Amino acid sequence: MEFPVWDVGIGYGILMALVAVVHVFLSHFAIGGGLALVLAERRARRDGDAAVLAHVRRLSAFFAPATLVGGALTGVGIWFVIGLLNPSATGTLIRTFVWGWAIEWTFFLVEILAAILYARGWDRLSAKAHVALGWVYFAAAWLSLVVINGIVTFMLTPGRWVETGSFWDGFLNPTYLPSLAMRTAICLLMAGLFGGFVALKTPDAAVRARLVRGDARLGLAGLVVAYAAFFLYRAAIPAEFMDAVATRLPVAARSLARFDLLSAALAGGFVVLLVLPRIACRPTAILLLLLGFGWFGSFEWFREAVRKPYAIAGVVYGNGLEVGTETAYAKDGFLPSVAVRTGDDGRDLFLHQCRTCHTLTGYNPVLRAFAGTDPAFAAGVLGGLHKMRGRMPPFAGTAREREVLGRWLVERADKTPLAEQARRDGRDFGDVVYATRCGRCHVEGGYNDKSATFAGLSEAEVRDALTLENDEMPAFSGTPEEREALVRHLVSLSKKGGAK
Amino acid sequence: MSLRPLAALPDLHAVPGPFWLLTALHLLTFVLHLVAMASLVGGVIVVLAHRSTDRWSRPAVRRLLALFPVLMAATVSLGVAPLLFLQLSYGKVAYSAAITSATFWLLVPFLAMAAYASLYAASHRPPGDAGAGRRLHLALLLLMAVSLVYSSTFALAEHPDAYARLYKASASGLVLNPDVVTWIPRWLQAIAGAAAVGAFVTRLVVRDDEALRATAARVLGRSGLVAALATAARVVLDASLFDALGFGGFLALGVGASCPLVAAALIRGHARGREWAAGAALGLGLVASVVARHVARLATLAGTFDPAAPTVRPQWDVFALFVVCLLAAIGTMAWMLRVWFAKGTPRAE
Repeated sequence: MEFPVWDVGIGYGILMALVAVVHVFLSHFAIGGGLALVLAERRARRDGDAAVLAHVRRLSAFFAPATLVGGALTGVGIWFVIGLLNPSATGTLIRTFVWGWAIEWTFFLVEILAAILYARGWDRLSAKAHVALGWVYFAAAWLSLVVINGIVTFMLTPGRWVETGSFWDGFLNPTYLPSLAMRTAICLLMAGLFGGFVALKTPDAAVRARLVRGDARLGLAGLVVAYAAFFLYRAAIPAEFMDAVATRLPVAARSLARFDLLSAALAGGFVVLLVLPRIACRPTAILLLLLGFGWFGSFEWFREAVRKPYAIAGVVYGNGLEVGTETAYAKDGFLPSVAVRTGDDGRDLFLHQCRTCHTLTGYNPVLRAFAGTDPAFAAGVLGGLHKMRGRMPPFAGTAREREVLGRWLVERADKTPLAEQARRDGRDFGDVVYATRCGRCHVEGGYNDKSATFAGLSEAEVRDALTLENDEMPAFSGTPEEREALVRHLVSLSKKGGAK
Repeated sequence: MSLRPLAALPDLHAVPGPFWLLTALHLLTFVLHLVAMASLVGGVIVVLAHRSTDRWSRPAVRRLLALFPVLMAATVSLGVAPLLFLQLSYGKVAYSAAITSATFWLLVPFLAMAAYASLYAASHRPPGDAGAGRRLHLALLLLMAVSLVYSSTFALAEHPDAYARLYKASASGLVLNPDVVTWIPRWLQAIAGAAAVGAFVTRLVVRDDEALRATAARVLGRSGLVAALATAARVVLDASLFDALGFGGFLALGVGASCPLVAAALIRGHARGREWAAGAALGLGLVASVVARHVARLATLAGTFDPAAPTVRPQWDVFALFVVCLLAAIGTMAWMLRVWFAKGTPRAE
């Protein structure tokens, strides 16, 4: 591991989401808004519609700073953030797609200049030249999406690139086209949302209603096409990933559900404005913007979560380890490969293998999983990380390193015995033991539920079964009281029928 | 796709072009970024240094205020490419240093965003409103903070042993480079050099305002002097730099430091074509400084990190497409500017 790991209290996922979701929101608006502006200007000039032309001008005055200051700099911000959070995967992406990014940069230059000249050119340029600049802006902005879409989709579906290493195989990957269609439609949706917001500044009520209706129509059209394209996008995601959403990736499943719900809410909002455009006011516009933000955020969150445990599917794990290197680390050890060390072996192992997704006690806390347990249990569990419900990368290191990390984690975890935790929380003791020692990999009635295998077994036989162990599952290492509580719990589970 | 590790993935560490090409593109785009950044910083300093009661209503100042957000946009846009090529060639040390100072590094885009917003706000103040000055002061402060973080981080990136030591003491990302002699003079040199170049560009923009041009000439001379002194301080104080620079490096550094002074002297003279000569001197100085920086970086890193070491797996077809797109972009931008500056077009600002 060539890079140090930033040990900060905030969760990496939250940090990334804060910058990335704001950026995608603004950057898609920058594209769709560009198209909406130039189309509206052309139509207004053709029809001699001064009111709409004034609206377009107002929108362009809002558009330039929003896209240049917010959009461009949050885009640069993503570079800064991903380089800090996952330099290994970022480096791989840059080495693979540097010329793609360079091409995108050429479109970006044109886009920025065109946006500035368009926004400032109302009193300076002829109508024809002004509209032409608007088209140049939109073309450049959309082409930058065409390029960046290839890199973003590569992370989920690298396609034949894993065999050929060819730029084009990675770029034109299985989700490329559905994603491009979806994002293009999202651009229109964003244009409708922001356009409706700016339309409220129009003083004439009749003109305002006309503008609001037009923006609602644009937003609804974008939403419908985006939603349809999303189904194609989902269909192009390998089944192995999508299957996991229902059973092992609750975050992705929740994002998907939220996406569906917010799609319906947004559609409802647009329909209401289409029918009753005069009710549009600042609160309704803000509400729709927030719904749009949540909707787009849900999609992006799903896209990030569904490819767990990878940063680049099948190539680089979320924690920056290259797929396939774990075998060598298991033999030769992980710590000797860490170039920049903290001086604490356990901490280095935690930072490099877990910190990308977990903090100790804050965001997605890892210590909670080890509260009231013992180092042997922790070390054993680390051997089966890749089997756990949340789809994690496998532990990369020797058995000795697993022990070091296990001990390091348990030393920092809550030492309250499980029996006391159960009393404190008013829960069944056996249920707490099961949730702590088994539930991460065997969810009752859910993922990898093994309770049916205990059907018909006596307590003595279940007790015997708890001595089983393998590389991915530790033998039971709790206290005798915990063992008895767990045996009783398992027997009761098997009587309930086990897995549904 | 299988979750099982694939037996033979492509070489993830191979780079898509030879080091000389990546370096050429890195340095070329970096010079363009510096020109935009220097024009902005120098312009702001000239406006703030110009003392007159009608400062905020002068047409030339109004023109500059309108230009600053554009220059900021150019600085950011032209800064993307060198950052990209830097990450490609020097990713290992650049990321490591950035992570060591992560909190400050992460502040950069937010500081830049705030500077951008301040410049926009200044450009939208009504004529004669001194509030523009407060916004310019804030923007300058923020831009200087950005360059401070850059200088600290990239100086740290050239000393892997230093960031390793620093990280061991604190992995929180709340530390700047403590070895100030390696980067404070460097930062001063960068800021003062930028002010000199920017003052010259400002002189070209405000041809109709002799008083402002005189202020710009003053800023150029003083900034040039500070840049030269900072360069001398770098060489004297930073033993590692002194050891690293060979004859070529020293020559480039010397040219870079002396050119602003030469330009200032030319501006004060009365010879014909002095503006062109001063511009050429500043251009030469800028390129020489960038080359000196590159030579120093390679020499300092020698033995610990070799950016030319990775296997090259060229993607010539995609590179060719990049060249085509770049030429098309340059052509399109030239067309847009031609439309903008077409004869007979009324001036809005």
